[in-house]
Amino acid sequence: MDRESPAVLINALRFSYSKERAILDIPKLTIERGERVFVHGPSGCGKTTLLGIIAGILDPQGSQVLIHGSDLAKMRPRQRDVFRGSQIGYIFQMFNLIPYLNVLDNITLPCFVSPARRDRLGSTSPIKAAGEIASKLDIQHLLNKMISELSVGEQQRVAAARALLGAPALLIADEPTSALDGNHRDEFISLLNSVADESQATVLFVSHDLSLSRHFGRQISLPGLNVVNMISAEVSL
Amino acid sequence: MIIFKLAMKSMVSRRLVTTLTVLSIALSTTLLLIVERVRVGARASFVGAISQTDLIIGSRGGSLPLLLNSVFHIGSPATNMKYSTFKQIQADSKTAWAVPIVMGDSHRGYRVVGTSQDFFSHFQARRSQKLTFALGNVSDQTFTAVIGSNVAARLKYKVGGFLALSHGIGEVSFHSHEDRPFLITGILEPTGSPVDRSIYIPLAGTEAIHADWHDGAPPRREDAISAQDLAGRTFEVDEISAVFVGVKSKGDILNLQRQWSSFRDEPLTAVIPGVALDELWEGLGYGEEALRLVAVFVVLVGLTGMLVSVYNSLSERRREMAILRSLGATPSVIFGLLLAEAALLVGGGAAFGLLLTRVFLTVLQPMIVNQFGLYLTLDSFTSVELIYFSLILVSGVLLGAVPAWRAYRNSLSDGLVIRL
Repeated sequence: MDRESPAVLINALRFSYSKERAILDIPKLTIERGERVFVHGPSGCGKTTLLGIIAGILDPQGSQVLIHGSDLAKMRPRQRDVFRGSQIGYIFQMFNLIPYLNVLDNITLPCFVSPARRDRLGSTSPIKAAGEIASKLDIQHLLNKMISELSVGEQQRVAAARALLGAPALLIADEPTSALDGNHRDEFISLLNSVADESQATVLFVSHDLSLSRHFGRQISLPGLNVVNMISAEVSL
Repeated sequence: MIIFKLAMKSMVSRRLVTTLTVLSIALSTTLLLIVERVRVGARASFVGAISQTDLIIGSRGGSLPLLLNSVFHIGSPATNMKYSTFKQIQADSKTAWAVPIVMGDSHRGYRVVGTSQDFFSHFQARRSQKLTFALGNVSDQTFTAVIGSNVAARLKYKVGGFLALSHGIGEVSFHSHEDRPFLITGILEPTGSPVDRSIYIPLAGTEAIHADWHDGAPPRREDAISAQDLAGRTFEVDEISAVFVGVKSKGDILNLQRQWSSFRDEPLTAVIPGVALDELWEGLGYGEEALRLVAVFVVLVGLTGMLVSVYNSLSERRREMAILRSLGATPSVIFGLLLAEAALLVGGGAAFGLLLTRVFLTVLQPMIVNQFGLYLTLDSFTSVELIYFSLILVSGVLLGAVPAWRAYRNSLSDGLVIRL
């Protein structure tokens, strides 16, 4: 991995689910390491698609998508899985916690499916590391509970803890605050940023709620159908 | 390790379906193993119906009728052989022991065998098992009987009770020897052989009940001799049905068979029971194969149930698979996860099946021996059973590869989480 290259570098991204129209058409997008980036836009404008491409979940369809200098387009699906597990922490809109595992097992899961995440913990065991990160997110008392016993806010913190364990270089959060009220949203984002600061992770946060942008260093707008110009305009700022 | 942990926790979270699937595989495995035990037991019971008897000699006829009649008490001999011939067989220098048997009468459907007391010391059934008495013993009195375990259990007879013989071998007889009852002096332990379903009386007894008969017809009432009078008499035996022979040296068996088959004074047939029974069982092998086939199909049904269970659960678990991939699990890990799940299901089911087999055999064996005369061994698992167990495991894991492959393909083609 190139230590000097930006966290995300996208060149000439044109992505479509069907032949009729491209949902994303981005000439260039650069996100530097350690940046806090807020991506917003109305539903259906391609926010989640953009995150899916950056996370290597979606095939970039031949476009150049470099994450820390590694080109996702040149990776096979299996390699993208391994890369994602190693480099990217993902907080899903619906949290996507595994219901039959308890909180501790959910948080430590990435370390067991990704050896690179596990290695980054060094001599600290995944359980101990999970405990530390749970303390920071104030969910240490929930470690042995099942997911179904948690409130939405608690589930959200568990999802954040899972994404942050093993210090991934890029943290992607896809509308994780959509189920929370205003006060809790601000509190959660502050907490997330402070924990991400400790690991110097780049944060890419998606929401349709523009008021949250004040927590971030930069914002990117994805308004609906007229994606290309707006993305270009925002990126060039 | 994490794969097995995940598979286990996932299965526990779907505990009802998991339990039913494991139970289905367990029952299939149990059936297969019990059918195998029944098959082995049936063969052992059949081939072991007589043991350590080197020759059976009867009047000239087919070896099969002689075998069926003397060992399994099926049918009746067309002709008898002379008792004097038996004495010659017994006196032969190569003969270790010889036991005569007389067939002809019955009691409520059970065959009555007239024989000497030597029968109880020389005749051996399954696995060279000597006859032992559960209760009482054999008596040298004319009107006494020893009954097999099955007869005692079914008819609820006890030592000290009496039974009356019927002329002929049918369950319904036109003539009953009720005026000459036999005292039950002994009940044999179960052997899993036709002995269990037989009644043994002294040779003299077979003669005594027909002592006042003329030309195969019973006497008129006024000519009949009382049982008390008969009990005090001695009887000359003229004819017997067959002779069981043990030889001093096994190397003489073939010589003796030839010797008695070509006996000049009387036309005889001599068969080596072990060989003849084996040949007969081989001839009936299709029954054995049919049993096996049924059991294999039952196992296939059980494994198909597992396949359906894992396959169905896939639809519910697409999200789970997607989450795992989003965390960095490769398609191989997803494949391994479902394969591990199949292995745990089939392994658990098969192991539980082994346990159930053991429990069934332990609990039901006495009843099966008593009711069906079939002795199912309680030995530790045989190599064939362990092969079956391994085949079930391998087949289950191979079948589990079908949904695992689908999950592997799905995770590639569907991508992740976008439509979660």
